[in-house]
Amino acid sequence: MAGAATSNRQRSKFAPYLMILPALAYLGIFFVVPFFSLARTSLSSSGGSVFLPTLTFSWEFGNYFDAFSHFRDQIIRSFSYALVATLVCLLLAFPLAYVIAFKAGRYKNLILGLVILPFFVTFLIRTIAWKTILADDGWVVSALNAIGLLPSEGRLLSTSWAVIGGLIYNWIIFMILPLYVSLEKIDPRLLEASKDLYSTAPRSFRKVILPLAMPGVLAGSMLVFIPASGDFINADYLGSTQTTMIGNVIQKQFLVVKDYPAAAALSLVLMSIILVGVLLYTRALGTEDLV
Amino acid sequence: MTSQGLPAVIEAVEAPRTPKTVKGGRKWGDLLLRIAAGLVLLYLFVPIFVIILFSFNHPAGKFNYSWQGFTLDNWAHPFKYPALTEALKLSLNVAAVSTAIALVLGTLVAIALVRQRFRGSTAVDTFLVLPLTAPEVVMGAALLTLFLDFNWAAGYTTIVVAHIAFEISFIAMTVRARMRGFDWTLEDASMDLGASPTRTFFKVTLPLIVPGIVAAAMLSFALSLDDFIITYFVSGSTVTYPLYVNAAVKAAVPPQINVLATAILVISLILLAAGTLYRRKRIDV
Amino acid sequence: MPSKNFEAIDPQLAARLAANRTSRRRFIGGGAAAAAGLALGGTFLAACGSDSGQSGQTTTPQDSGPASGTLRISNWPLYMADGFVADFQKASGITVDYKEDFNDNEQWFAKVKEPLARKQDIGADLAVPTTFMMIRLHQLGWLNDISDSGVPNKKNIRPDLLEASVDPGRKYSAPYMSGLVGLAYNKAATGRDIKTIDDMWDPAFKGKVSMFSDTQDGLGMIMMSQGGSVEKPTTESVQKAVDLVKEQKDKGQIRRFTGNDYADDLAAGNIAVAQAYSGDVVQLQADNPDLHFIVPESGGTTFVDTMVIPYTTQNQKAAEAWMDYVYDRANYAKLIAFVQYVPVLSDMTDELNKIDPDLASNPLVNPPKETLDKVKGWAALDDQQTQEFNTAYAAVTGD
Repeated sequence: MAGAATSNRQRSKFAPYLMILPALAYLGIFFVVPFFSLARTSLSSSGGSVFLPTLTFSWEFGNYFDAFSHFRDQIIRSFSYALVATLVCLLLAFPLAYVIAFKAGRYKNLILGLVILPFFVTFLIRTIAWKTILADDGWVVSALNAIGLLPSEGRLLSTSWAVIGGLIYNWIIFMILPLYVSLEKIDPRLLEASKDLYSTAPRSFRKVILPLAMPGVLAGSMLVFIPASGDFINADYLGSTQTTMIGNVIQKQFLVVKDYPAAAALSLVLMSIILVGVLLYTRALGTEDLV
Repeated sequence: MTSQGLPAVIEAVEAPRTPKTVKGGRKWGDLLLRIAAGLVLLYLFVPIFVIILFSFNHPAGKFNYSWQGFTLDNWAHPFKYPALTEALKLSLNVAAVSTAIALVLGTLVAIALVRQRFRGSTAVDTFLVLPLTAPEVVMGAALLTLFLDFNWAAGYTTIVVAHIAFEISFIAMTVRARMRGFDWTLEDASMDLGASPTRTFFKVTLPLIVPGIVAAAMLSFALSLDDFIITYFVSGSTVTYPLYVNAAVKAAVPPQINVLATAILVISLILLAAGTLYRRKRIDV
Repeated sequence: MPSKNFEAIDPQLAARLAANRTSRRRFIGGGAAAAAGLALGGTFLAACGSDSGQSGQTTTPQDSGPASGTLRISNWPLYMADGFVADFQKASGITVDYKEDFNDNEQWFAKVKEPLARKQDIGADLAVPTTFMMIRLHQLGWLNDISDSGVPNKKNIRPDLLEASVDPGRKYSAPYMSGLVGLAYNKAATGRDIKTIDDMWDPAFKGKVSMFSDTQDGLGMIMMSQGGSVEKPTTESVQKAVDLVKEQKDKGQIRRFTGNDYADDLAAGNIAVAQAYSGDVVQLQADNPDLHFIVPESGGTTFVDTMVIPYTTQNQKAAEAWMDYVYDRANYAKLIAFVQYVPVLSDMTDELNKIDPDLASNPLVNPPKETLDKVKGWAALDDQQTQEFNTAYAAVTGD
């Protein structure tokens, strides 16, 4: 059905609270509590034994300053990678989601299923396969080198582009599916009408399709950007010594260096930046709500 | 007050939808669009072809990294590594169970948030984004501490619990994307015709958002199947599929991993195709 | 949890053994590693000694009778021969719940330290950490002693390992498998043989070198090339090595810091020279004869994975029975045939010859004396040193 007709009916005051209660209670226990302990750790200083340190809560804001100053490069790098990955995902996902929604007819579900299938093979196996394809001496890279597309390093793997490529490949379904569900509910008659109204396809796209697909764009970009910023595993396998992301740093601080306050502070820095970014983005897109 | 009109509303909602094709249109733009979509689909499958190919590889060593020769042996013994098969079964189980529960929780939240503005809805909005932003390694450790405080043994239950926690937000956001622009007057019509709110929900609202729910379910399933770090912390000595593969890969990459992965793909594909054919039959009849 | 149910020796494996394509390693003769680890000062031994008194209580005291019940093992993946567990179950009557969930020392530690600190069960009666991790567990008081009466075959352990300074007499750790940490290179990619650490820094290999992200495995050989010693590591010698690595990394010489995941890059030729473990290379060589493994001229290090019994174990006797079974030379030879790392038992040549003469003659399974003289094991580090060295190296690898 077209349009967003809101109901004038007097709704039960309690219904929404009842509906959100289960999820909130669940997250309250299994997210908020661990999160608080994380926040607490980030403001603590650690002492005593190296492997079982005692954390004393001491409003240690210094942890945050240290996090920013030591790892500024990685923070910036992570967000740049995530941003590029999100944009490319959007560009790639849109045609596919559009075609599935409007031109696939009865094969819609089949193609949707096809789209998600590759992601039932675990990340590591997919990455190994990509590494086989993009090997330095493989024909893909050799061909690109012959054309001269590759910069001085002459390789695709262990570069920032490989990491971004990994981010794109591994998160793109989180763009395709939300885009699809929001496109699919657009009445095709609207599209026909808009084609009559606007003489060119790009205009009809900008004026009609894009605004209607906005919820999908919003959801998709968030579902890609947010996890991608905190990702570490793509940088691990596909990156080089120059491509470490904040996720790798947090991993290292936590597991190897065992500086738990530093790891916690970094995590909170990451989360806050993402949250602020998401709030600004949502405002910019003109929708009042995030979710 | 009878509900004579209600069946009509329900029928309208449940009726098989006419295929959405756009009349006419600029031929070239259309073609380009289809080609672009096809290329993206191909891109998604490029590594899959390699994976399928290497399931027929015959390495002499333990690593399946370079092509040595064709063999059907791996397919003859797909369950040669019992730990691999067990881990896979466990992961499928965990993914299914956690997705089912998270679907209920997440969909309810999504509906509540879209249907009406209530006090605190913006706060809930923002709150739901947080689990997505938290880095896995620290959350995994914090969750483990929590479970230990509860005196829960790390294993299947804790894995499912942890998975549900991060799936809820993904599901809520995906269902939401479907529901923006939902015509709530349909619900009104249904209730005016005498249906109870519950019946309205199940017969009118739910069918219209089903694509969103299905998409959310698929994403959540894929997420759960692939989760490594959080699962690692809360799993105790239980081994899930990604845990097994990540650990095994350091010592060996048996082609059986490829075989099982391909088998899953093929089975899913067959199910999908069967589903499509079935739907065709329904429509034709 | 379903217990692992291995079939009898895989026919494919047996065929491969017969096919002679894979090169096998030789049993470490004896000498060099004996010198390793002798040097550690009395302070470390005293520290270790005082802590070992803290061994915790087993939850099911079993003073008499043969071992029985269930044994839960946590081991590295694919570090076990087909059919071995089944044979043990038959021979001993003990049910084994065999898990391959030990994939990384630090990750495993992060997972078990909370439960262990609270004396809660971690789901394993026997685990197989690498030596440095074993030392840490012991220093935290989390390991049970291993009784000599429970493991009479302990006498089969190589003398150098049996009396190693990290645990003289092997009171709380039982070596399982050892290996060489050296350099692997792809001759097709390098065009020549690699012999020294300096070869790693050849500008021709820019961007084609990988190093370990693990402090001990990565820095060990670097330190030795600069005249330092892993048996007496100092802040200066470690820092000197770290500085060299940083310099090369900034130049772009080092492509990646890896864990065990260098194998595919090496096989594909993306990496020309990699720090590597001997066992991995044995496997890769089977499919790629261009790959070679060497211990650098200035020396390399060894690693030893050890079996330990956490103090939360529920079946001490069964764990000891397992160790005893492993230490039987005939059984152990089967493990070596499959895993193809360096044996921790002495005099393995005869048993290896019975299974496959090639095993006994493979220099990576049975290294010659010249190789052994060049490898050393890291000393047991205390908390402060571990932290200091790890942090110094992490500054380079995590950057």
